[in-house]
Amino acid sequence: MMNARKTTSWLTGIGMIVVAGAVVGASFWAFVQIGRTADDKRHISAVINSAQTLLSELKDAETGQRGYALTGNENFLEPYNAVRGNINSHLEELLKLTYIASARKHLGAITHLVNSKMDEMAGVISLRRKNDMGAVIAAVSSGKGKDIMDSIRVEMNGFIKAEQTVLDSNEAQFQSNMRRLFIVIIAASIFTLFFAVIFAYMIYRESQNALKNKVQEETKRLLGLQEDMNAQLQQVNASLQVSEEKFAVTLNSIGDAVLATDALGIVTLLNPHAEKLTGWPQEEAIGRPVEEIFHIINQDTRQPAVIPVQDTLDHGTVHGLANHTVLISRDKTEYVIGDSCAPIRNRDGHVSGAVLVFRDVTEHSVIELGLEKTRMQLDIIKKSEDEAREYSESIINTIREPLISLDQDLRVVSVSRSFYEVFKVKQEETVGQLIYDLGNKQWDIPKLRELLENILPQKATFDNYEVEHDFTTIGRRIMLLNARQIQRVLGKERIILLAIEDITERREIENGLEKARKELEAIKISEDAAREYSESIINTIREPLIAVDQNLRVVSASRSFYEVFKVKPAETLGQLIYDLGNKQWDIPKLRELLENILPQKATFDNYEVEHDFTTIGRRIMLLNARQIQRVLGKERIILLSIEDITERREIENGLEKARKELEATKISEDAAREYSESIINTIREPLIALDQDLRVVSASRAFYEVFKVKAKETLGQLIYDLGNKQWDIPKLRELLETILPQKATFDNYVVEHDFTTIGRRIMLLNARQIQRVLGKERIILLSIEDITERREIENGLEKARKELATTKISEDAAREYSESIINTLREPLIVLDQGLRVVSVSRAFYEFFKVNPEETVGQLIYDLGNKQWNIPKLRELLETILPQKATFDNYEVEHNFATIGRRIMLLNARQIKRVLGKDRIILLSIEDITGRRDIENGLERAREELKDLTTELKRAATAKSEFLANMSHELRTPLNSINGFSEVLYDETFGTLNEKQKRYVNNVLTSGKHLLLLINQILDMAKVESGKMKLSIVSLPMKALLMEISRLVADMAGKKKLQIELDLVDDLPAIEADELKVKEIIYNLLSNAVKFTPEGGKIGIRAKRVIDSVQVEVWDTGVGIARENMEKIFEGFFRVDTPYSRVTEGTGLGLPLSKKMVELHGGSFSVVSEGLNHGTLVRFALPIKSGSVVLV
Amino acid sequence: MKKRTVVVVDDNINNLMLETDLLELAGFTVFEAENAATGISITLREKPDVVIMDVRLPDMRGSEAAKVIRKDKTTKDIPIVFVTASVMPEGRTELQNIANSGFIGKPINTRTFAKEIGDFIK
Repeated sequence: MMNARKTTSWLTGIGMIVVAGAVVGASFWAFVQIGRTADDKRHISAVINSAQTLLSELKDAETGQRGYALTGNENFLEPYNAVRGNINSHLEELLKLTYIASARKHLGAITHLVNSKMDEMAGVISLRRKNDMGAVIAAVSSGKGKDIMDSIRVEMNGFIKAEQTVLDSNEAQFQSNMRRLFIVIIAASIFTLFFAVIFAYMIYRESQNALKNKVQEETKRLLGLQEDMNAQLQQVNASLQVSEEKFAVTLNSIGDAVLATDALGIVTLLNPHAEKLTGWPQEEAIGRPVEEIFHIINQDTRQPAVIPVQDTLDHGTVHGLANHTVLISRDKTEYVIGDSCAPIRNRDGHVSGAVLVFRDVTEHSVIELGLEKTRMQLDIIKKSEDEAREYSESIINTIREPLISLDQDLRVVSVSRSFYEVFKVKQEETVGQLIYDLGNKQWDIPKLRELLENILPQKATFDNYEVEHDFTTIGRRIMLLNARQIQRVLGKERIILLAIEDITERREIENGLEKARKELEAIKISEDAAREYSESIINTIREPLIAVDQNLRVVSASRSFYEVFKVKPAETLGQLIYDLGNKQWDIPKLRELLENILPQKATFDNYEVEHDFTTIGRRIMLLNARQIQRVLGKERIILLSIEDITERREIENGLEKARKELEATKISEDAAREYSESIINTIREPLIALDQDLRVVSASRAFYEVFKVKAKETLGQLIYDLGNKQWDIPKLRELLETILPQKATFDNYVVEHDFTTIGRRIMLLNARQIQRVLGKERIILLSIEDITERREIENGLEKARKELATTKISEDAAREYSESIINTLREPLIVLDQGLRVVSVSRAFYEFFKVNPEETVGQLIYDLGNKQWNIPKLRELLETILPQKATFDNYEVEHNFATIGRRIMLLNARQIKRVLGKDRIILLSIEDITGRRDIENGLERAREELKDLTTELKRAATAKSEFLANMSHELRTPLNSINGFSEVLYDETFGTLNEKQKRYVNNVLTSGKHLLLLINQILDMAKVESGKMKLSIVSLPMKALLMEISRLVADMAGKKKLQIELDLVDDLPAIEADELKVKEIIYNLLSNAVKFTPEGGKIGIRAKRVIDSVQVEVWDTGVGIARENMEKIFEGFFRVDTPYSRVTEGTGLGLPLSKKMVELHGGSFSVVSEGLNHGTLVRFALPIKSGSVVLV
Repeated sequence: MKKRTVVVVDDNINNLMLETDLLELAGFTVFEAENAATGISITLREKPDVVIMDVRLPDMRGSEAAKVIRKDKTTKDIPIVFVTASVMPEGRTELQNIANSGFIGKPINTRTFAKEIGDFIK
């Protein structure tokens, strides 16, 4: 197509060029022709003119001749004369001009005739001249002249005619040329036009094609867009389909009946349960108003009950389960139901319908009924527990003692906020981790391992286990660990609660607490005196309190006393305290307390008594007693408060248990809440959608929550890889890979699996494999129902019922516990009501801020202590931040208090709902970090100084070693020449010296060598002292070595006639040491011995093994060392004056250096001398095994 | 046997003279250089049997000079003996990686010096 068009274009182009060439050629040719024809015509006209001129001249000449002939007047001859002179040249010219052959023939005849005529005329003229008139007349009359003239005329006419003929033919030629030219031009024009038309057509066609292509492309693009749109539409449809399927599966799989309406209350959906309960099939129900389908009455009044749908639609509110509602189905069957209703919101947040969820309560099986009841009871308890929990959790989060809970595998389940802060770790690097791995394994503490792995499995609890450990993040800490191993209420696993307390600080607090308690006790006593120890007081005290009279008989006991010790007032009051409960109170320590201590002291605090009670088992009690005077009586009474620590710890257990249970149920509670928010969030069970490759397409929010995973680590993942491959469950693989491809659906597949994040779970899996409508892929919808809880509740129904009572007690206890926490806190804690008035404060607060309860409770916080609490930042915190955030942590406030001076405080606050009330209270804990800041600042300064000092020391050390290296080099360079040349001279290498010269040069050499030794030893000393001397440790056979060195000094000794004695044991072991250094040591000592012993004396070596060292003694009978010099010999450059040795010998460094080198080896070195002239013994020992690594 | 040749590089003229005298006495043909550059150029020209090199030289370190000598194909196998007053271990680290080299600390032993040098020649 393209080629054909190209060819056509080419051909057209060529055609046009050819035509243009032809036209130009033809035109040129025609013009040449026309030009030539015009030239010919001009020429012929000139020839004819010339011929006619000739003729007319001839005529004029004849006329003149005749006139002359007639008149004889010479004047008439003028034309004749003119002709006669010119005629020949005229003829010649004419002849020259004439080309035409026929004309030339005529011209020849004419020339001839003209000559005749001229002759004739000349004849006539001459006759006339002769006046021969007759002859003239005869001649004229003869007509000869006239005949010639006629002939001339005839010939001339012939000539002109011939010329004329040529002229005519030329004219015709010209005309035909013109015509041809015209035709050529016309033809060319036509061709050009033709080609132009073709060209125009082609351009047209080309542009048409281009346009067409453009249109096609545009169409294609639009088609593509349409396809994309279609794909998107398909996807939307597919996901719609999927969500519909999901929705359907959800609705079908959940146990509740679901009914949905549109905004007008018209039914749009019923799930199978709803169909069953209402008696309406979905097809019939759709489109009818909800009242018609969902007909309910009050169970007691039998009056129509309000359907919550309308209210939900009107206000967009969620309505909870209404009790005692009966649903009357289409066939008049009655079901007692529980219902709840939630709005469906569209994207704009407008209510577009409602979801009514209800369940049949009547149809429940006995177990289910009981279960439901239990659940409801649990719910109620949980609610109050929730409050208690929130309160205590708030406290736990407000307190600064780190608390950590672990699962059976010692992995962290949760930790308190303060744990993160104190140990400087983050939640994501903590939860789920093995405790030992926390914070770069800094928790891998041997004692903690022992505790958790050995002690705890046997004892289930331990208290005050003291652990000292150096943490990388927070430094050395002494911690008091308390642990409880508890059973999860709703789970099988055990949980370990580990509280970590920093004791140093706690001891300080304990002191403060004790002080505060004493103050309080003082206050209590005065109160008691005033109020006559009324029963009410006793009963408000949480600790068992018992009042006994002088005879130790019980006057009264507090409510908690009866509860704790399981005794009744009747068997208590009036009894001797020791007789209580079948004499089980007859405790020796108590006797001692009441009978010996109290009469003397009137008060005692924290007297710890451990006793095995028959009713309540072994207990550890903390006794506090006051002996007081009765106001109205004269007798004394003794108030004895008994604090049961065991119980408190059990309560702690109960609280934790409750907290754990709540944590577990919180998930389903959350799910339930979500359920009512929108349709998708109606799904209680985790739901997950997988594609063909078993990769997660989407997951419900419940899934993320239950399995504690995040969307970004879930979507697109292979299901088995989720949450660190914890989903790689063999049964799930079987299900998805074997069963599902064959069956497309399965129901209630039970899978039990131990998840790393959430522990052992029993799950009910339901799956549907659905085809995407417009796509080809399959999608697997997998709903996961966690039935662990249900199973356990079902199984442990009876157990749960029994536990109820206990739980209730623990709930009370929890509440009390919370209060007790406040009072045991070391940090000042203040509780404010909504109006920022003080509800209560901790003892620590009074102590710390030096205020009294009377001037505190009920006061506006800002007014406390003469308005010293009116701190702008605190106002901002309480009035602006807290109402918005409900909680804040570590808010730093610096303030100048009137009573206690400038303080930096760290404020932590929680705004919580009061346990027993509707209003909110604020818990505010105040930590004084002034001291900490001071210490931190001081520490920082000290650190800076230390750093500077270290830098300075390093610099100095570097400078020193550089100096030594330079000194060594600079001294050795000249020494090389001094020693070298003197040695050469002494050796007489280049010629002999005389005696004196030789002695002198030897002096130079000796001095040079001495200087060199000095340099080497100074360097060695410097190296040892800077710790830079390195040992190359090898195995040294000591015996051989000692023998070798003794041979070296034998010469020296021989010169002085000294006797050498060697006393080396045979089995002297080899030692690990630096060979050169050891040799140097021994050589130094031996040469000293030689040096300082007079001629004929003795020197000797003794060596033996002493335990794991080799001991060497080098002795002599020389000058010895004066007592006063015993210290100086190690100071360096000290030399003993001796008559036996020259002053120049020895450097005074040999001995100190030897000592240092022995010590460097880990050995010992000592010098013994009985005094001057009593000889010297140097004893050193080197260890057989070196502390350093042995090289060989 | 061909006369053995040695290039001695030392900036201290006394030491240079001492070493030269000792070596000439032992039958060496000695070329003297007072700085590294001269030492290198003489070595490249004469291809001696051994080079004696001080470490602290005015124009460059003896170790650097040795590297230059090692770079040239014709001199790379010539043994180099460092004769230096820098005997501290930290001063010797720069010489450790130079192949086919020796070390003699100053002051030298005049009685054995020439023999020690001769031992470096294969």
